[in-house]
Amino acid sequence: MSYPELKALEGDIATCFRCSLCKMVPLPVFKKQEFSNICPINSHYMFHSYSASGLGYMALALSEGRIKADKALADIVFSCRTCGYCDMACNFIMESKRNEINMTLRETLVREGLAPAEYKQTIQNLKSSGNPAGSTRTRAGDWAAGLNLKKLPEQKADILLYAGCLTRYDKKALLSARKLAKLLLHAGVDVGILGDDENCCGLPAHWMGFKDDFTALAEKNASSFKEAQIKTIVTVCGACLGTLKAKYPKYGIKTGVEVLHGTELLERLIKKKKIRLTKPLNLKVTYHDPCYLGRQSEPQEEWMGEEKTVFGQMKYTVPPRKINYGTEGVFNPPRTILKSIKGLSFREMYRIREYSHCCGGGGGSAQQYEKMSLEAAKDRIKEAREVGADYLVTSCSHCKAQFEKASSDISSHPISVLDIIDIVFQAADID
Amino acid sequence: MLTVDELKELKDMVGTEWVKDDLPTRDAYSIYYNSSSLNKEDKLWTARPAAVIMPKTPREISELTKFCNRKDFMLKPFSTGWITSCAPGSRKTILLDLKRMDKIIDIDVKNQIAVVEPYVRAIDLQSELWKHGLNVHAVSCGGNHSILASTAAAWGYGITGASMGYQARNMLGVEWVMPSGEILTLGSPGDGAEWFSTDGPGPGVRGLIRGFQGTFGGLGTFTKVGVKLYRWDSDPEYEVHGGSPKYILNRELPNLGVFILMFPGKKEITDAGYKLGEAECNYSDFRMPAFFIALGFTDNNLELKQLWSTGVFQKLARYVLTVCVHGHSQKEYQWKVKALKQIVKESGGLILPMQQIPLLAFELVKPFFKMFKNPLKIITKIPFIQEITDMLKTSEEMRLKLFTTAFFILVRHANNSQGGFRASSGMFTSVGAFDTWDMGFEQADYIAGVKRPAIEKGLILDDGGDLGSGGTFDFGHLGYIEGIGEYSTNDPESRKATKAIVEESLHGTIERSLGLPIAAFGGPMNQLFGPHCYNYHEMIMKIKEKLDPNSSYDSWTYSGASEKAFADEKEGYTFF
Repeated sequence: MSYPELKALEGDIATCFRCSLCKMVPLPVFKKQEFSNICPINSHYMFHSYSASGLGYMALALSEGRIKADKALADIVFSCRTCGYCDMACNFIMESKRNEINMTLRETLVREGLAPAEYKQTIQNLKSSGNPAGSTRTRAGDWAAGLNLKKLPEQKADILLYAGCLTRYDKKALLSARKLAKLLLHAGVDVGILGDDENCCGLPAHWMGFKDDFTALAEKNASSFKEAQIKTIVTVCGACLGTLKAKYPKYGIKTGVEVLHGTELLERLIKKKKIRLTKPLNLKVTYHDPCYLGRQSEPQEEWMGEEKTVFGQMKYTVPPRKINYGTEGVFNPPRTILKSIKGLSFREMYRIREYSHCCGGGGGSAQQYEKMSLEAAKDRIKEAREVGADYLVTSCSHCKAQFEKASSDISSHPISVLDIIDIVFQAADID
Repeated sequence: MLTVDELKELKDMVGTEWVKDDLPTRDAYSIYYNSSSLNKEDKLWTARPAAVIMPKTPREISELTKFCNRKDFMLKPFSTGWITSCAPGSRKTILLDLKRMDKIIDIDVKNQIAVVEPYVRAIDLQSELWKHGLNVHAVSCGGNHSILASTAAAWGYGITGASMGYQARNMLGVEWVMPSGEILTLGSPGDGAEWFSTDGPGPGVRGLIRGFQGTFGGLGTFTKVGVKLYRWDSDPEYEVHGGSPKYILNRELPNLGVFILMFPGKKEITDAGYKLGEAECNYSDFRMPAFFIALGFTDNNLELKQLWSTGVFQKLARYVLTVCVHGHSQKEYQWKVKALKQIVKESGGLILPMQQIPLLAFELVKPFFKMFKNPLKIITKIPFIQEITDMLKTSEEMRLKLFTTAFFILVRHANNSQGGFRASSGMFTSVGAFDTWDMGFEQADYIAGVKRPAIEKGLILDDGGDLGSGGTFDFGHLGYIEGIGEYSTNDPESRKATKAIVEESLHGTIERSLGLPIAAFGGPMNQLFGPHCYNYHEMIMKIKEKLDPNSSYDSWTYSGASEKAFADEKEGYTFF
């Protein structure tokens, strides 16, 4: 069996020299052994096969025909949470394609029919209902009932408020979306929604390795955005932001509109004094950078240049190809907002920004990985507690749900989990 | 191939989830740094291990060892697992990945000893030690390497060796699962110790199990090590700003300074190295080859091409020593800096201002540099040149940036040395003996000559030839400079040329009496170098035979291919 997609990456795999930096924080920012490991699957399963380096070697073995595409391989490959830290870590020392190798290996196994059964069901749900849980499509716009938001494309608005499916169908999460809508309306923003016509952004298909289903959904969404004639999309969920802003272009799908996360727009509105955070909040909080709002939302520019060789074996590119360090994600707006709230005590964790620790909730939900996935979240909660926080604030519905689930499972150091929108809403003191 | 019953036996020893024998996992453990050097077909793959096991305790390792004494299998332990010396030498080898053993057992502040398990990385320990005003020697591959490995089992050369010595000297105690399965404790782990057993002074068992290069997992498993610590009189931690790949310190650290010293020739740099050691004012030092300096000045290979093409670095930065000065107090620090300045002056060198120089400046001085063979010789003769240089104003931001770079290399081991090889995709090393500081430069010159034909044919990177990297040890009593080169991992011709260079240089070191190189370990290398070095290879064979009569440990990196290895695996490995 030949795998041309993997074959094309063999040279990149060969550059891995097993330094294991894909498993830990960048050395210059290292602070404490206990909170230095980052790769969720390596922290849990520990074997090298559960790491970007190991996944790369196994991809090479598959490509060269040393091993077969089988359940043993699939069990390891689909455990990856696709948090993308390994890519950032490797790029710290050299130009690499760790995330691309991981995703290509995963996509290869999907084509071989080896994805976990739960993943296949999720894809079915996406196709039939437009959301991964298979919830009824006709209720997709219920979250905004009574808010009097414009309905696109029938009505026109500058900004599309994109709720995202986890937010739309989750009773607790939709409250955050409603609060964001109220804040925007309060600030006089011209905002509308797609209501029942809103589809999933497609991230579940992407991170589970169903490339064709992802691109099909992305194309459909791009077309509906175009039809709505909007200038900007504002997402409630960090995961949607990363998908629309970075993954769509990566797979050749262009929306042609500005994509912002709610915190980015809120920061602008606070700066312009359209929203005033007047109410003091006596909270000790820390902030968790979601992977797809943070490092994974960094746009991957299409490079059109020439690769040349000089000094015998030195390759260089003209113009220099941009390396993705993950530093251009949405990191500052949430922090700026939190720090501007009176009475709020903000403290940073050890693994932050581009080297943030994953909540464990990405990559697809399969029963066999639940323990590992929750362990990642518990580790993060422990870190939040360690720095003295009573509240773990985040800005992604997936992360929030994951932390809530993990926290309810911890007796020694549970923590209250908040969406940043809830805090802003409280501090803005509006109804 | 392990039978079902054998696998069950192993799983009963350590727990089912910690034994893996599936093919994907075994292949994930079949590639290491430069592992193509072991593959006769020039592939990256080493032998595929029979299984990979993650034990948690010495007792479990003891049981596993006894298993291999009974069965036709061998163990090969490793800690952080990086270079090919961690690889299995046989398909009958069961790898012990010691990642679960990651505890800092004790930090004895009073006696300056730390006791650690195999997977404690240098940066793990250093971060804790700084809180207690202590520090540890780390080898130059970076803070992500295992302290136990470099102390008890492999090499031990590092940038802080100037004041902290070669790591084998820092081994004060060890817990050792012997090839028989017995657990032996040697030396002392410090106050409140779990053990104390006399070993030396004079000849001791530590010499037998550690030796010069180490046993690389070929003679039992080291499960704890007591390592000597050194003083750290600066901040217990630091803060950075910026993002990957440029994390910048928020401020310079107290009692700590970094200096870039330039010398016009070999004599000047070696003299200065000895004097700096004599004055004990180099906490750490690193001879930075010109190409790496140029690389450090740039963010991508296009910039590097432009900068290196000016030819300025080849002439100006051939003999550069970066030095970290650290004082136990501000007063002592100032005295050391004063001494360093005096030594540099007396040695005919120049201390560079901490200033990033734009490419344009190099273009401007290029014609001047072309006129002279050694322009630095002329520059250093200019009256008051150091005083003039010292007057050059540097912005605080720029100074901090350069301080950070040097700090991460010289003190924190956080640059990850492999980042220095972005120019090409692979690095090889060849000669590099732990000998006198002068000898290091002899080796660097020699390897530059060996590399030259391949450079001219474009088969390896044209780094100017001399990519010798290293520094002084034991305050100048010893020195180490490693003959490095860069090649392409994806070009078969480049790999072939690299192997030929390594081969030639190994023989060349014997002909020229250049010392025992870094690659001198494992059967074929022992056979090559032993006869020229007190027949150490015979001693190693005897030790192995006596202590491991049942070949319970895979010894390809120690005494040679194991008895149990398959015939095709006994043909002999080379290593670079």
